[in-house]
Amino acid sequence: MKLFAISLLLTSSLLFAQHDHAAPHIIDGAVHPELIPDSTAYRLYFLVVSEKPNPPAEAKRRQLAHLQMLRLDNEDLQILITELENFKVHYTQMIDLYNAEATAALASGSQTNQPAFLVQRDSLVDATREKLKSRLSPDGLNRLELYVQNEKRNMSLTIEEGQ
Amino acid sequence: MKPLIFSACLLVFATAAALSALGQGCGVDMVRNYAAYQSFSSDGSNIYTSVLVDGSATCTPTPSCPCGTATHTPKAYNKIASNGGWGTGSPGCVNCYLSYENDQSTPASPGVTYQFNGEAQIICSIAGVFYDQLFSGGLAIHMSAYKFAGVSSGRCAWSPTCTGKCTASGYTTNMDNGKCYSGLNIYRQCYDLTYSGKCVDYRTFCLGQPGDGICN
Repeated sequence: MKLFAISLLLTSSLLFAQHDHAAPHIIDGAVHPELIPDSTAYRLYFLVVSEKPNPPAEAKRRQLAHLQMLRLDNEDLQILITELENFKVHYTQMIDLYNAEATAALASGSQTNQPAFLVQRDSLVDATREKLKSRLSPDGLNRLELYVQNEKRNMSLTIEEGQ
Repeated sequence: MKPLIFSACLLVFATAAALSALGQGCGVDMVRNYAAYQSFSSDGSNIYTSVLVDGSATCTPTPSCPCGTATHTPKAYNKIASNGGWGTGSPGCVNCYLSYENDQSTPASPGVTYQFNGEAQIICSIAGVFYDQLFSGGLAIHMSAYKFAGVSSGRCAWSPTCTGKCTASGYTTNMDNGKCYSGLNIYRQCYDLTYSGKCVDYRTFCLGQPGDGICN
């Protein structure tokens, strides 16, 4: 009976050990916002607050509610909406193209160059940030940067994404 | 006694083996590059919530793990009050890049807390759920009220007229065409946002008015 109890304890410890092993694979921005890279934070933020051209009224209301939290003046707000729209269009096109190539490659037994695509993806984020740096007022840019840094607490990512 | 010992040991080893297999995803090294984001905002009468999952994985097919035939599907759960639920994106190939967002909203009364639950997942047709991130908290709009307190260093100063959940001791704003307020609107009614009891956005927007405002 004692041995059976010990076996059960060992089984339980294995379960907990497995759980502990899985935990470090995720970076939780609520606990460690400093471990969320800026490129990832801007990408996620741009995706959520951007809309494609001619969005439905509900999507537009949502976007304005999100962007209202930046408290930009009207000129900066219009610039940001335009650049976000460009980002969304290019991001979607980039993914569609990559996925078509990845699907075709797997069908032929080969692989696509995913690391190259991820570099291209991050370059689009960087280019959008550079455009905003050159077009937004210093005050508007500062508000955007502070807001995105603060939003890291609402993000999480796998360790691989953070590297 | 011996069969009992043998059974118990077998149970331990079988459990360990099964857990090991699950952790490794059919014995191949799979690189996951996924990120999730919960976002919320308010326009004073509605609360908007978004849950995003974005990223990709890589898997090299082997005879014991033919992952080249697998598909990955992004899913996001977003429920605010009684609105929303699961949303599912289009399935893609095992190495495809997936980006899926579930947006919801609810009409909101100031001072009332609305429960938000979110979850971002990637489902593999072979391995099942292999990326999962949970979010949850209570969202509420709160009100704060301020009165014009003069011009300070070229900026408009505002002082609180009552104390609410997210009331600031005072703040300043830019002048608008040399003015701090229009007409008789020397008071401002502002709307704030809280998440899990903490103020996450102060004065999301403010409306000028001629009379004192409300705090909660």
